[in-house]
Amino acid sequence: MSKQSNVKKSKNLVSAGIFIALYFVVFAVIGTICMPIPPLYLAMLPIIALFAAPVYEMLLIKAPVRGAITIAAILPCLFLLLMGNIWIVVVTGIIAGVAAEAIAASGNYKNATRNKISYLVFSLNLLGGFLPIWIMRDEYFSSTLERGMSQDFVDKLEAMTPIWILFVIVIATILLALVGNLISTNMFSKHFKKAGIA
Amino acid sequence: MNKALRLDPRTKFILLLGVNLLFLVSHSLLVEIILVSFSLGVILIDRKYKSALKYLIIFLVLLYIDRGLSVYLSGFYFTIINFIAYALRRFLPCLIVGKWILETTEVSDFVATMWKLKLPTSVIIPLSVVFRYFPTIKEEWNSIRSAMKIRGFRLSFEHVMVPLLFSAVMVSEELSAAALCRGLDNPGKHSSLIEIKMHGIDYLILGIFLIIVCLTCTLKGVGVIS
Repeated sequence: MSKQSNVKKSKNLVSAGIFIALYFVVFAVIGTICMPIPPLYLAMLPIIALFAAPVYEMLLIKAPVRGAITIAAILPCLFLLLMGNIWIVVVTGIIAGVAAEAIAASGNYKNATRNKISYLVFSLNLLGGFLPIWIMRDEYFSSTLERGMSQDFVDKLEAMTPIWILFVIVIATILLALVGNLISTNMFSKHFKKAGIA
Repeated sequence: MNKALRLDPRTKFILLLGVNLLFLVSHSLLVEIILVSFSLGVILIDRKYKSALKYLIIFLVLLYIDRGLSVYLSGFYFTIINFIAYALRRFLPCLIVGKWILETTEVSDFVATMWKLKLPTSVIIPLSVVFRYFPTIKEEWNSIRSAMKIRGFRLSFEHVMVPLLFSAVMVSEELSAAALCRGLDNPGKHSSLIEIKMHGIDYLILGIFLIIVCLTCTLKGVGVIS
């Protein structure tokens, strides 16, 4: 019996790896498009939330195993860390991943409403990656003011990067995650349920 | 490829985290220059002369924009460019170390390190699948695109995602069968061809880094730097 469950677990773990990789590819494709363009860069999180929903749903269906969601949430954060982003991104990734995992697991990965909520939480995993804009900004202001930059410019730059953008990002992400989830639910009933996969 | 120097992946990750934490501790130019020279030194030891030179030039240009040009130029747009240059420059040490890790660590090194660190199998198995599945996704993507072209479909989210998910489901089943045949579910110890071990050079580099950390904290504590 224990051997049988071990086989099942290993199978789930392999599937988890596949869908985590797919999620990572969605993140990487959108990231490479968005990163170089400043306004799109801020919209990166909501756009990923919109497009990654079917992959997340498939991950929950095919690999209902503890740890998969957390790894999926942390992996892009680790990649951003490698690309020179701030370590806080990993912290938000861990928080979002563990919380999403707990919510999905409480419904045994089968409760549709809980899965939806878990996706909303999961989508916020990269939030920490945007904090450097504000941290760097304050640092930059203090260093340029020291060297005689006029207060006027500082005010203008400050007006361009207000802190409430962070809240806009959060809300937009949650909304687009909901939309993405809706699209993916349609997609699943249209294709995968018919094919007997989901 | 040069195999003379093989740093332990653990050393690399400690360095990455350390550099990342340290550059936030202080924003003085001195610490910044020390950090950049340290990371350049590490990749120089690893014989990445070309990229070291590239990073050095990038650093000097960014520094010049901030310190040199701002004397002559001012204005709103210059301030924005200067801000971007400043942020890039501050993140440069992390970028150097990160890129270097990506270039020099192979998947099998990484997997062997995870076994060595005694991570749970529920972490190791998905992660080792992830890195090996990327090339397959690229192949699948190409096949999907050519199938779409033959049938005259335009590019849309559904047209790509549905076949991609279908193929992923198939691949996951085949891959788990193959992995189970090779004893993936074996609860015992898994052996590896690659031996992960800390060498003298690892301790040396970590030691130098520790000295930099202590120096920075002392200087900050005394109040010499901000």
